[in-house]
Formats: sequence, C-alpha cells, structure tokens
Amino acid sequence: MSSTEAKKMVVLKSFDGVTFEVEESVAVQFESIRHMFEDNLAGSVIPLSNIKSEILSKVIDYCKRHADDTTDEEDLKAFDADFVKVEHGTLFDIIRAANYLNIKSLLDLTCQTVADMIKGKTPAEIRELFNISDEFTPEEEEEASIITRFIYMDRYADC
Amino acid sequence: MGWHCNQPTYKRNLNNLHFLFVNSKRNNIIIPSKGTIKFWVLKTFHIMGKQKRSDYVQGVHCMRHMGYRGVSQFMRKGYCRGFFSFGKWNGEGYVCLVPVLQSSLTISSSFFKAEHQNLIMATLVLVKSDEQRRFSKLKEEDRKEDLISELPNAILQHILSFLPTRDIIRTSILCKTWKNLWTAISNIDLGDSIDITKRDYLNRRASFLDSLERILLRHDESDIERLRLSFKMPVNPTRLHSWILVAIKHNIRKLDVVLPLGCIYSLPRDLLTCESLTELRLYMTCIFNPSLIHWPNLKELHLSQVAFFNGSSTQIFSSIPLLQNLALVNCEWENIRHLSISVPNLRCLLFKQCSDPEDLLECEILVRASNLVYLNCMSNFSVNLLVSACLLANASVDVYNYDEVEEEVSDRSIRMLNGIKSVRSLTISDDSLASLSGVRDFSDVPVFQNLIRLKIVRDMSRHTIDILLDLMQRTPNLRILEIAEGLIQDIEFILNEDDRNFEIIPCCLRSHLKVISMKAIYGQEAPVHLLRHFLKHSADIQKVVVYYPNNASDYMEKREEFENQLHMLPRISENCVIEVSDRPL
Repeated sequence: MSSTEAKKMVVLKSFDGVTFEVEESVAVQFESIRHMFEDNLAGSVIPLSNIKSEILSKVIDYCKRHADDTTDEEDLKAFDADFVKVEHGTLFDIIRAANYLNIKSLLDLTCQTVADMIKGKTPAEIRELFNISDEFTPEEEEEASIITRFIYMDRYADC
Repeated sequence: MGWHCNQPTYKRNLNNLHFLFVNSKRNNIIIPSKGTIKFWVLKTFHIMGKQKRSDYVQGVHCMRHMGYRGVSQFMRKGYCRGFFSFGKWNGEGYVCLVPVLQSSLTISSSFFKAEHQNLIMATLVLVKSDEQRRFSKLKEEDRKEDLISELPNAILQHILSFLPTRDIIRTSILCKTWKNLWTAISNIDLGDSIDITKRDYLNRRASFLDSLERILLRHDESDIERLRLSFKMPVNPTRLHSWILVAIKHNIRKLDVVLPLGCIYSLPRDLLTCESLTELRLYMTCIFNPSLIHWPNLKELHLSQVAFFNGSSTQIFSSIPLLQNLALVNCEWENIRHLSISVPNLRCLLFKQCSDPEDLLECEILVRASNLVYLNCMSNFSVNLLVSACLLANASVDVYNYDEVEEEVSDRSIRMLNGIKSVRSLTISDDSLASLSGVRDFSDVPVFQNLIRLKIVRDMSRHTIDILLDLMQRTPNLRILEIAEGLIQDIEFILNEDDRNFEIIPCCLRSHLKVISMKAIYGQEAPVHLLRHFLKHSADIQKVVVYYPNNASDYMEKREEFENQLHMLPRISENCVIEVSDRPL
C-alpha cells in the first residue's frame, strides 16, 4: 500500500471514554463489530462499553501486529509470548475483550496461556495460583471425591 | 512441647503446643475455636528421610483426604510457597500450616507404616507474636480476588478445551464454579496406565473404572465431539458397551477405542448405524459384520485387528458414501476369498497385513477407488491387493513373500503395479523389487508415465539392483531416485569383477533423471560402482547427494577419500554437483 493512499480509519471508544483511531485493516479483526464499520459507518465512533482503555490499547496493539504482513512468523511468536506475560487480572480482561470482539486468534492465545498454567497442576496448586477458595459443603466434597479418586488412581499410576 | 495426636484429644489446651500430628482417619479432631488460635506454624518437614528440608515452606492447605503421598508430593514439588489463610477453615478436617524457620523436627520412619498412610502429617507450632504480624500481612495479600472464576462459563470451558482430560477433571474439585464445567467437555480421553503388580490392584481397578464411568454418565446434554477409550488392561464388555452407548446418545462424532489384544469384543449394534460418526478408529479384536453398517457421515475409518465376518455381500464399505480415509491393519479375513472395496470418494488407503505364513489364505482384495491419491500397502501377499486408481499421487508398496512360487508372486506384483501405474511418487521396498524376480519379460510391467520420484526403502542387494534398473526402463520420466537405505552390508563379498558392471541403461537416465540420493556405508565400494554407472549415462543429472554416516574414528579421512573417488567418476552431464553429508537424507 502506498503511503499517499488514504487509509480508512475507524474510531473506537473505550468504556472509560478514551478514543482510539485505528486503520480498518486492524479493526476488521474485530469480528463482532465488523459490520458496524463495514455498513458505511466509517468515521463515526464505535463505542465499546465494556472494555477499559488499558485493555483496548493492548488488544489494538495485538491486532496491529497481526495485521502487518511484513512481520515474519518467528517475530510474531515472540510477540505473542511476550504479549501474554501480564498479570492474571489483565490477562482475564483481555480474554473477555477478545471474546466480546470475537477475535479468535487472540482468544485462543490467551485461553491457551491460562490452560498452560493449569496443566499438570494439582487442584490445590491451581487454587493457590488463582486464589480460588473451596466452598464445598461436606456432601459436595464427598461427591467430588469420586472424581478425586480418578485423579488419585491416575497419580498412583504415575508413581 | 510436641504432641502426636492419634487419639481424638481435642480437649487439650493447645495454646502451648509447639507441634502436632493429626491422624486424619479420625475426622473428629477439633482444634480450638478460630478465636483462640490464629495461626498454626509448620516447622520443618522430614519425611522418611528422603525429603529435603523445606525451609521455604510458607503454607500448606491440607484436605482431609490427603494421604502421605499427597503431602510428600506437595513438599517435593515445592508447592508450599504460598500462604493460606484459614478464613475458610472449618475447624475440622482442614489444617493450615505455616512455617517457622527455626529448629527442625525429624519424624521417624517407623511412623509411616501402612496403617498411617492416610495420615495428615502436620507439624504445627504456634506463631510467635512478631511472626503473627508478618503473617497477618500475608493474609491480607492473600485475600486477593478469585478473578478467574468470574469469567463466563463459556470462556472457562474454552480454556478447558485446551487441556488434556485428566487436567480438566482435576478442575472439578476447585470450587463450586468449576464443579460442573467439565461435564460439557466435548473431547474426552480416558484410559488406564495401571500397574498390575501394585498391591490391591483389583479393587483399585474396579473403583477406577467406576469413577471413569461416572465421568461419562455425568456428561451434560451437550454433544461429545470426540471420545477416546484407551486401555492397556481388558475391560468388561458390558462396561464398554455402556460407554459407547453413552457416546452415541451424545451424538459422538469421533470415536477411538483401543483395547489390549487377546480379548474378543463385540460392538454394540447401535454403533454400526450411528449417523453422527465422522471418524472411527478401532484397535481391538472384535467381530465386524460389514453388511450391517450404515454410516452416512463417516469420513475416516481405521480398523486394526478387526475380524471380518463373511456376510452375504463381498462388497464392503460401499455403504459409507463419504469415506475418504481408510486404514485396515492386520484384520482377519477368514473364509473370505474375494473381497471388493469400492469407495468412490476414497482418497487415502492404508493396508497392512502381516499374516503368519503358516495360515496363508488365498484372498483377493480388489480396491476400486478412482479418486485415490495416497496408497500405502504393506503385505506379505496372503491377500492379493488389486488397486485401480487414476489420480494416485503417492504410493508406498512393501510386499514380500518368501515361500510361494516365484511366477505367481511376480504375477501378483505386476497386477498390483498395473493398478497404480498412474502414480507420481512411488516408494517401493527392496522386498517388493525382489518379488519381481520371476518376471521373465519386463514388458509385462506397466510403464509409469507419470512417475517423477522413485524411492527404495530397505537395503538393496546386487540382485535387486538389477531389478531396479529393469524397473527404471519402465519409468521414462523419472527425475528423482532415492536409495534411502543404501546397499546391504556384505555386498562387497558377493561382488566379483563382473558384477561391478551393470548392463542395463535405463532410458530415464538419458533424458530426465536430475537427482540421485543414496546412503553409502563407511568402507563400501559398491555404491561407487553404482554411481559410476548412473553418472556415466545420465545426460542431465544435476545433483548427487550421498549420506555417509559418521561411525568411525577415522571417518573424516575415509570420507575425503570417498569424496575424491566420487569426484573422479567420469560423467557426461556438465553441471552436476556431488555432495557427501553425514546427515540423513
């Protein structure tokens, strides 16, 4: 694309009122709002009422990088690996945003990241990692222990 | 100071207690009310002498059911880095442990006899006031929100979809939010890996299968995309049936069943008419009646060890209209003499049959698949595979037979080659070449007009080199020749002066052959002779790559010598590059 050619821009407005102007080539990755700027609404502001500006800017960053054809695959991988190195809270917010905007590659990347954190850990380790508190009643726990048995059988097998 | 509690002695005043063991078999231990004691502190763990001092231990949250094994794993894996408040401690089954980095405590090994396996070993010490303050701080930090469980269930389930089944099921005991998430998982992989030599094997096995069954039965109303049942030990057929039926009820699309050999199973009839199936893989000894099947959506079918029951029709799989990939591995074809597999959409066929020569049966399998692009056939000719395919891109043929009449074997080989004569890339084993020994007239062998790449697997003998050269007479457009495993070790010994000269000059040498790659073993002369023959007659060859494995101390020396030999070879092509590499081709 030559530099003189006017790039079509889309304006997005976050939950806390910050506006972002992005190229259409980036915004098309937002599957769920795609129709809004494709239906000749370019130029008008698209409100994203449940995404904080901090998260939106990250998501736009991600999409910008992924819209850029010149980046090679290795660089993109490194970018992705770096991108998910954030606090849990931020990561979950990005997941929500990716889900809301329907950006499949970002949703998969972030969910995979969380899955990798869970993988191979015992329930207690997972609870600790995410501050999950167990609120089982004794009856529920009994029921859960049936499942636990599966896990422990599993573990015996490994020992 | 220290106190080992095997009896329910909750009435003691624990305020001055420095450490405590709690036997969890008796669940009625009541540690004084939350108001009285705020923190229990773990000193050091020494368990059976093999644990390291865990000075970094900051907290353990022990559940009632935690056995010795569980505790020790926690310690070993360095789990105990975080601190657990016991805001949720109910004063009964849960014990909270926090460390004090002072004196250590050793628990004697005699303490861990079998009857104590369910012991919660907890060394509890009351915190001194300054540590108490420190931990109060930690406690506040620890009250961070549980952010992950606030995510919508659909997202949590998406996260779970990236995990193996065993990890998914573990999440069910995290807390209420997670409890039922797993019941919607659409990709289930269940199996055993249990060591039969373990004590109490049978009981464990039964309870393991019970809990496994519950996992399947508790699946919610959503569909199961894929179910894999993989067992190393036999499973009761009734159980197996009920599991498969659950899967069918959930509109199973992909089903894999792997069971140990030696037990004969039957398949539930409903499976044979399951309309939702798109992929089915059975690695089990079972009786299979192809005339009953009705799989309108099946695209991929793998059958291994399956015994075909001779129904009324000898045409099998014609009732699977969408079938694209078919693999038949060591199936039983008893009492079947003629069998016809006619599947118009079939694209890939894998056929492996290594029957015991003792009970060779004359069985002719005719495959009619005009859209076949990939064929892999490995058989010892107890079955006679006739293929007819026009679009074949890639075929791998490995047929071998040692006992039968040579002519007959050759005839079959020729018939088979006729079926695949349109192939573009052919991999053929040395044994398959040998099976052409009985061919009197090579003009019976079809001309492979489209063949561009020919690869020979397994090491070749002097005899099969001649057959290869004969075969190459029938491949006018061959560009790439690969002799992947080189020539047999002792070829030197059988190579006399005459044998170093090859008579046949295949036509493709003069026209199309561009690349030759082969393996040469250290010290062998024969590859040089063969390459001499090729280079001398190949008009347009561009590249010769030789894999010369590094397996001796004077390798570099020998390799240089070998390279020089190759470069000295007379050649008619002007721009041919010769490369010798110690990396496999």
